[in-house]
Amino acid sequence: MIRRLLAVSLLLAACRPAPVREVIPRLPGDGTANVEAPPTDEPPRPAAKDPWSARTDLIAAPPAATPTAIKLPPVERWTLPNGLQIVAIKDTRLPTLSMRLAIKAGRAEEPLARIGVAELTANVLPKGTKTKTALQIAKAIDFVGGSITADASLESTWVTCASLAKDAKTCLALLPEIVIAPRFAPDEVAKAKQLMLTDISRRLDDTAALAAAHVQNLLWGDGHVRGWVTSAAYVNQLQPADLASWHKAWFAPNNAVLAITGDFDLPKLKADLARAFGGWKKAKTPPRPRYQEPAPIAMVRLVDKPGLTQTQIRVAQLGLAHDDPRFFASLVWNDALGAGGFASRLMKVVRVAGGKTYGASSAFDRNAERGALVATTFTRTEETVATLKLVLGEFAKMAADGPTDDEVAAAIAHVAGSYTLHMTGADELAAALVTADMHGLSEAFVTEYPVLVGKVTRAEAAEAAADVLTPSKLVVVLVGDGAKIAPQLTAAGVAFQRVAFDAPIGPQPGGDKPAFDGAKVAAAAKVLDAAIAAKGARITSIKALRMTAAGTLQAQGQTIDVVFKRTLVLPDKMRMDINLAKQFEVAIAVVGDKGWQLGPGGLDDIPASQLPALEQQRFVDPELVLVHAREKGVAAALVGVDKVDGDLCDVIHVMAAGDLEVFLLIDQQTHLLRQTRYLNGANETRETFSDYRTVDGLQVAHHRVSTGGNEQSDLRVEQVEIDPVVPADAFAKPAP
Amino acid sequence: MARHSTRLAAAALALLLPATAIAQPARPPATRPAPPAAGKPAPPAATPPKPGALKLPTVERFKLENGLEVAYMRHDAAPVVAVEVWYHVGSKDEPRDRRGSAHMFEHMMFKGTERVRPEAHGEFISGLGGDVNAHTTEDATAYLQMVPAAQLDFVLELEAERMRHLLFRDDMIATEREVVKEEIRQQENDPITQGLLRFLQIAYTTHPYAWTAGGAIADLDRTTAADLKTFYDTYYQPSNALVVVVGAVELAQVKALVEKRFGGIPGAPPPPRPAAAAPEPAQTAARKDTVAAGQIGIVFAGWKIPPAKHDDIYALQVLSLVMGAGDSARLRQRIKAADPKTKQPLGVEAASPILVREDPGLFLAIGVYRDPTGAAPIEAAINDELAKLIAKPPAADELRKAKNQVLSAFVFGLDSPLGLAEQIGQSWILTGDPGQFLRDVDAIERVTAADLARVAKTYLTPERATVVVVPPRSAP
Repeated sequence: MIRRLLAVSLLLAACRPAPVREVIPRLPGDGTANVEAPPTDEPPRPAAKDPWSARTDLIAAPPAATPTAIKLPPVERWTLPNGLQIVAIKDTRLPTLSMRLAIKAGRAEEPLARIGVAELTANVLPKGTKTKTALQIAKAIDFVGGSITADASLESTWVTCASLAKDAKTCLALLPEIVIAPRFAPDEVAKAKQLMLTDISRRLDDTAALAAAHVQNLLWGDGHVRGWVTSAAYVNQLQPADLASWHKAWFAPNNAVLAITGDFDLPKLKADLARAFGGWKKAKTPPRPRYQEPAPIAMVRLVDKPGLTQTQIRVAQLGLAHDDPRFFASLVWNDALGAGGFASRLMKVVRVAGGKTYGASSAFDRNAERGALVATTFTRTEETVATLKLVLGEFAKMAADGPTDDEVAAAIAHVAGSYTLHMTGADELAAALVTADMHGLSEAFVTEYPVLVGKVTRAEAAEAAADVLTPSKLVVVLVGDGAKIAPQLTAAGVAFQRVAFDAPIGPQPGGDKPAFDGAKVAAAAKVLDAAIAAKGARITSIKALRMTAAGTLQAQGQTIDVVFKRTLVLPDKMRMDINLAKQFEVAIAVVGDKGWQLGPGGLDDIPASQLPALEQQRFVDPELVLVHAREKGVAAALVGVDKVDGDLCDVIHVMAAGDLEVFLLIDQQTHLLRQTRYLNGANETRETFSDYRTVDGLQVAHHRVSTGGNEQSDLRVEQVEIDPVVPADAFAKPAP
Repeated sequence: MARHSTRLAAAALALLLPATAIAQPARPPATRPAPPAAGKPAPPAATPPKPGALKLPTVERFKLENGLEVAYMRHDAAPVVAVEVWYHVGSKDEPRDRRGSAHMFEHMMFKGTERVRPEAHGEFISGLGGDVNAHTTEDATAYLQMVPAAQLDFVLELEAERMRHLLFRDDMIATEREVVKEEIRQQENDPITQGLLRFLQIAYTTHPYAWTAGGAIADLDRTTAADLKTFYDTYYQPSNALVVVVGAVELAQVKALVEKRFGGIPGAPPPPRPAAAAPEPAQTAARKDTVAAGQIGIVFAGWKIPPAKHDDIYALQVLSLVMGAGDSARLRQRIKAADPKTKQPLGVEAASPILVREDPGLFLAIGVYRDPTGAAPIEAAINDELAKLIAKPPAADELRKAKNQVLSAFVFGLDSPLGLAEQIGQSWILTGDPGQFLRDVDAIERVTAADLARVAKTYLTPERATVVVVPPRSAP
């Protein structure tokens, strides 16, 4: 903690006197690529005489080594009966032993209402168990000069213990105990919360951390877990019981991997681990939450902190999943773009303008799911927009032309060479093997990595760069003195949102649903209007609708026939008549906030607890949901792009009062609704629509497949009636 | 990521870690450590854990005719070699109106020589898959590389080239000055760094430890090409440098290659040491200041301690562990435990790092807090913990714990060639002996509980204290 609070790492950059071609950068902001004249505030530099051109005795680089595969030492792998996977690599050079346990759950699994629970749980793990106090644990590990720590990352929670090999019994006792039986004592939870709150406060003084938080939020949005930022309001809400239930849900041996490195005797280690972790009970973990990837949109956020003399600049877009087939080719072009240190284009270009900036880099997340690509730099306030233009220009150039032959060769030498040089110790290898496992990659991914980098051609790197980079749709975060930066942006014709440095970032508890960004709302309105036009404009003026469909329903391993009739009368009446297996008739009706059902079990009022689900049904009706999404008080935002049966669809996130929420996937070509996605209890339901036919001027899907949880239905529409005559008593509760 | 990083003011900040987090547990006396204090030694609480089966590596040391010192340690866990060049020059050697020039010079060392284009040094190492870096502190400037072992000669050639063949060009200097200023601006924008800089300023009234390697923008603007050339010719000489080689290479090979690459460089007279003419007078009264508020509050309390070569450094290092290393350490427990009166903890975190320097360094006690009224109780608690320790020396098991922490950190520190090269360089700067750190564990083992109370009573007294508070902004 003190390390994070106090350690300040400073980057040094160096100048590059050789002139580099001026680029014509594009700026995001108004949605169209907006071509600016090159910055003119820098007087042309006199061409310095090159003192090296005349020399013939320059020191030359040694030839690059041919990338070869990593040779693994013997790797022991075994699994305990409770499902705990173990990877052990023996290394007897030093009398030490390290244990690293990865729980496969981290920030990505946190529910919105419990942002911060993964990190707080990790922080409190070593602070007391059922049999030991925090001080007893600290004294035990401190006495042997060891360390025990726990930390939550996006994908996992790591618990590590390291000591001299002769003291391995201390780690073998403590690590399992804090993982299996932590106490979450209220006073320790309170202290850990104070530390987290300190870190959160500190972020307001740490402009790099503030920029990092904002850029993730801007890129992923408030509706995606990667866009959520730990805030004081969320941390203050967390209670010991929340930590206990998070622990109970995810901390299972069958959801964990243990890596052991150092000086051990294998048979004894196997016996010790079987004993130490034997009491840990196997458990079913919950389904992992899934989120819609955001659609690429150009946006600029200015985070205003008056008085700053330096601006933090971040430029981001979606990156790659770790198992993406373009991964190795992208390592190469990104090394040339910004990951290759002084040899990279960003470094060279941002320093060419008279040392106005200081260094720049770009980096990919390496996660199982697709993460971000973020470029990072900072500069003095006056040079903010000029520097931003240089960075954007490099994105555009790399997307257009890819790296040069020389850059590809240098990138391969650097990436493959560096990997080979660093992948030598047991610790590094074990960490790489565990990460590969968690990302569904094979051991060969680790050993062949340098070889695969070495095989990348210029054409492959260029194709991957063109494919991955979205230079006209980048998000930009600037943390600096707003009064001085805003005029620079305005002069450059860049639209931007401006927020105070101490404003909350992303969704906040107690607030309503997360607010959508204005640009995404406007984009959604366009898509929805086109969808309504494609469906048939009269959909906005109909008063009632009746549809009959027949097909099958699969549930709990059985397939039964179903006939289904749904009658809607706007604004708030719905009746469903369902025939199951040609035997049972069920009728359900809802009027406003009351409802009844009539079935084999008799006539009942629908309990209040079930009404929200029916309300959801009424809201997501595929004929009317487009209209609902454009109603006043309903929020809709374009949040992503996804495919349905191979066709590209815009993804619209719709939210309305009463916790109503649905994602609409609208075909980019036909503008027809192809799929809806919504939560039904804990499970996501997906309804897919096809076989559109014209009925009274409306496009109506005649084939509807719904999947969710363990259920699936497949229905063919037999009849659709627009504005049918509905009997006055259709919704009235029958006499008992 | 940029590959050059430096410590600057962050030098001090990075060292504000619990000592177990630092790979170098101890680094002092070239002189013989003091024998155990008289009186009955406390019975050990557990078997003193000697390194046992651990085979200690050795540092081979030799000197070229031009005065260049060379230290070599074999480390063949992997086919790599760490090569570092340490120059005995840091910010304490700077003229008072040229603060920051040592660090600026570190930048210049990547900006081209007669036979190497600007930045090519770094790009060459990158192309080998290697690591390249540099840092400047109050006492030293170090240049580091880690490369495949077969590239030892190539790296030595590059280092020899820039030891004496740097090019000084005005346009390059003008550009680099702006880059370095950008680095200083990072500090301007951080209240905690401002607090620490103020602390050094009032703790040292005379000695150049009053400023850090970061320097000052105004001084950098004054620095000319001629100044830099003078600095280079004065301090970047073989007789003021140590070449460190740690890795899977043979001693004979190292001797031959270092002689081949550096042997032809002429020797030079010893450089001036301005700090020697500015010894820090003994502090006789407490000093205190408060700086602009940050988002969180920090109390920096500190006491000047003897130079690295003084025997008392060992006991002070053990004391820093007893106070701040691990969750069970005294100061961390005290600051984070609920106060009996208010039922609230005094603060959220604490540390007690020791900054051992060639000249008198610092023992620090730091508390991090959030309550706007929290500074005074934290300061009182720090003094109270020291008073308790003086009144009653630590029990045997607490002393054993600190020594075990030193031993464990020492063993883990043997893992990395770059880490070892760093320890060798530090040892040379602080004690003149590159292999001293290997003997420190034994010296630490001889420290007694009475020694801790004695050094606390001698050095960590209220009238010798300097305190700077960075108050937290009032809660919104």
